Amino acid sequence: MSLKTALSRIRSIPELQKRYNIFINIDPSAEKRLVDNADKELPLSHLVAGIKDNIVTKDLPTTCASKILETYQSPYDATCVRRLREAGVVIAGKTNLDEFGMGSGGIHSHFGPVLNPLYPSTKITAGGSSSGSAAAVAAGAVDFALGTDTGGSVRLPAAFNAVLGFKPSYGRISRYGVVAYAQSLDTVGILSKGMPVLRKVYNVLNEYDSKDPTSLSNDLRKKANKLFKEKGKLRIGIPQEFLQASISADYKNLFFRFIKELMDMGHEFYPVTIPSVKDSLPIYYTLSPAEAVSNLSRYDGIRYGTRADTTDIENGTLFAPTRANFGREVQDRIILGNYNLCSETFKNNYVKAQKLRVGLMNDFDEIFRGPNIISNSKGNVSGVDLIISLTATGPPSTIESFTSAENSSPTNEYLNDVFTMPMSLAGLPTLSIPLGNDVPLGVQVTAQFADDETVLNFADRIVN
Amino acid sequence: MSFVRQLSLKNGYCSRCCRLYSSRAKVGEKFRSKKEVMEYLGQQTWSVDEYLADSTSEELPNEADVRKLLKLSGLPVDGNDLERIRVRLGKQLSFIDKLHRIPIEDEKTIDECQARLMPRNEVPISYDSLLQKIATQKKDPELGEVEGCWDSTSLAQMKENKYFVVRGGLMQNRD
Repeated sequence: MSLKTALSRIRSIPELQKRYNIFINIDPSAEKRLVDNADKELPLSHLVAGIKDNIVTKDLPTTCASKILETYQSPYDATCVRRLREAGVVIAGKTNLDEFGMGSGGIHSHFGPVLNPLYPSTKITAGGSSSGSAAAVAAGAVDFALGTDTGGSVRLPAAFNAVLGFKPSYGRISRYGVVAYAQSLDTVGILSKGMPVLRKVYNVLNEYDSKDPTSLSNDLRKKANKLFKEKGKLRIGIPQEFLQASISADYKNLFFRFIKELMDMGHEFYPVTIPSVKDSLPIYYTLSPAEAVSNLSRYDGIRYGTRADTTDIENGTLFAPTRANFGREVQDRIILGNYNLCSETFKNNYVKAQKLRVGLMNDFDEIFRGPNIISNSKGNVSGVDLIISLTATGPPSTIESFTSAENSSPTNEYLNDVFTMPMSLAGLPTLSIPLGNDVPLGVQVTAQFADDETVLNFADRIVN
Repeated sequence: MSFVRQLSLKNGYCSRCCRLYSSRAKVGEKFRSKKEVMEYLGQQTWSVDEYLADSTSEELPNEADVRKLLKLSGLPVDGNDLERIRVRLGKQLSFIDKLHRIPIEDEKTIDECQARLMPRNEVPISYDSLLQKIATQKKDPELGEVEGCWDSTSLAQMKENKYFVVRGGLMQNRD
């Protein structure tokens, strides 16, 4: 990567920002930092990054696209940010998102929606919730961006912006300093246009972190390294649950073309059924709002963040005047989450969803050849190494139609993640690869838990 | 493609979006040709629209419940559009309530704690390792654990002499 390219990326940002609303805060000293670091030989020297604005940084505010944290300045860097800086990365700015990561269209931001740079003349959604991260990469403002993926929030916007979006196995990249939405699902992911950059960034971030109690232990990392060896020809499954009536013939044909090329390379294909995949959306929308409720209970304005002007109590409800600053989608999910956690409904909703999640994880174990190092499944000898599907059922919609569908029912927006959620629930490593140049849809490639290398090695051979 | 036919019979979603009891994850026989793959891709075993198919007939949650939820959420009741919240919560609930109709195989043997993406059979902490963990615990300045290493009230919009401040009475005026 050259200093010249890096400088031209940073200089393009003001114009791109005006057109697509990619960033929430831009670092005015990024150019100077680049030049100051120019002679250092580090693994990621001369790389410019965008960081999703729910990942804390010392030198720029971290807003989560919310009025409630509009001017919040963290006293520390997230572990992933610190590692990037130590590896020589210059951070251009904090990217726009759906408030607190809640959304799939990139429209629920206090700072306005992100527009998709693939469509310079129409207002099309960039996908969410890592909308700005995907748009920053697609527009060429950065070499790569960090996003977070709770139910598809890296992969979906990556697909809609025709870039690569990788959600590693849960626990591989530290969540320390990543503002929690649903901690049992939240995963830091990487978006980029090319595999070499994506891989280098992943190698820097793929480390145990003692500050994160859910970080994958060194012992398990070693175990995974030993178990999952480089494979030549792969056994690839096509789950029938991802073949949908609503997928247009054009995209089906592109998907078929993709598979044909892989068959020509000698990979073997298998039909696969994972029936519980169909239950993913209701499982997810029971569990994630419940976790969000407890994670968002801390926002009271007392110790940090936005605070109501005159009072901290309203009609007997503490902190309500400040918490009224949450956006509507966030409020809707908090209300639902509290419903799910109430004693009357907890057993029927939350516990049932958790049991079904275990069932889904077990179903995935049934079809993968490799063992699962956390569930201790031994692996299925006649199973597959990878599964593939489209990342979404179709391309992104206009901001206008997305908004009007969302206004008519909150559940319309939920459906966008129907293909990405199963992998989130099972914590599986998944990469969305564009179906072609500037095609706003991707193919998802998924492997067994902790077998991230097979996904990345596979993509190394087929991308570009 | 006999595999697909067989599976779709066994695993067909009934109209109310619940799975039949015997459904299991399975890998079928290897595709022998591109034509077979193409035929397979042409199959549609279900549609995402099934999620919404029966979302309209549900009863809306009552206003008292919505008021209670708003209070639990720390959100204002006055000035909030309770009717809008009822409608939206109703739609959310009819979406997730489909879970109730999904049977769980081996319900008794499934431990919901395994839903966490953490090792299922952790080695228990031994007495020695417990003592060792205690002995090696230390305050990490990067976590701000060292006394006085940062001003913990510096981010508050309102404070008094290094105290956080709550207006309106913690013990009074509360429900």
